[in-house]
Amino acid sequence: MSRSLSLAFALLAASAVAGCQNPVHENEVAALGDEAPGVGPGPTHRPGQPCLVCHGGEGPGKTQFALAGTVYQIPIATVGMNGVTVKMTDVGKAVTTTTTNSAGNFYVASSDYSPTYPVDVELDDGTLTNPMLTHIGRDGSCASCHFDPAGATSHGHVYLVGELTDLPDGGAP
Amino acid sequence: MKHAVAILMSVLVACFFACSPPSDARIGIQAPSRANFPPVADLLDHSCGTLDCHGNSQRNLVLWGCYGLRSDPATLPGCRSMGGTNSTPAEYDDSYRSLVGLEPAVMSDVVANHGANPNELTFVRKAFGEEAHKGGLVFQLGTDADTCIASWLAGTTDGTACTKALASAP
Repeated sequence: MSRSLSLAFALLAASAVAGCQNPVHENEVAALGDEAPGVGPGPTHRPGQPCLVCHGGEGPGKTQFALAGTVYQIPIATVGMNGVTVKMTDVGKAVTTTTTNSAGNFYVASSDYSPTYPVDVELDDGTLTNPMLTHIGRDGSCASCHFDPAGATSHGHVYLVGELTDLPDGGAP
Repeated sequence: MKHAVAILMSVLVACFFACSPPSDARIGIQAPSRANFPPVADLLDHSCGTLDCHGNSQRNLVLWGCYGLRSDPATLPGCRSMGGTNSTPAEYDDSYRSLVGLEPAVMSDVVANHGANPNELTFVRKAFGEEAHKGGLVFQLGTDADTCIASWLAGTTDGTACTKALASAP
């Protein structure tokens, strides 16, 4: 009797867990596709993708991010830019900064920064500063709005300068 | 008997046409001014219309304009001051239709009462923090933004308040 009771409880628990899954979220995660060959899960994976789909609290990413994204040097760049400082300021003037890694990715964990929107963002590579011209209203993933190709619903990916010639050295190699 | 059936059918057909609305029928909305909407739209677009908020076509309330979603697929987000192009009349039209048509009966009621109870409208309650809103508290009561929106709903749009609210908006 107690064995069948345990089995019944186990079945109930399993169906409760299954019933709580969010198919919309699962579809969003699936739509991101597989990891790129040779780059496993970690700080440099999936540049240009909307980080908070997985790192927004519903998983499967373990660390929850407040804001995260990828910075490129110019609009047509296909590889992210290393060493760009990203400064975030929320409506209450709470500030945090972080720096992009070798993939151009940056992230701020929710445990370290809990902004009240709207949030302003500014990029700085040490030679020039480029503020985002509108604010972020509610979504901590840059790529939710900044995706390619640019068009009526997106300004394209996040970039430091519009043209290489805008750089102090004129983009000289 | 045959005669009676024919009469009944005729009556039914006549009833059908008498009760059906014309195919181009529209539900009327007593709406605030479209002509005075642009300064209100600029404020709403700036504060609410970024691409991650109401500049997303999947929201119930969708706002178009230079701070976010563009009507013309060939136009990029960004106002003139950012190197782009300012909101267009077509974008004001689109935002106006979206806002006015969000709760048509309530909007008609608010406008009929000369904007006496703007917080009957969900967009007002959400923007002013009276109802749960993912974007949080956007406008404060008693500010230029409040005057801007309330005056438009009342039919006495205070364009100066809208401009000042836009200039001071975060």
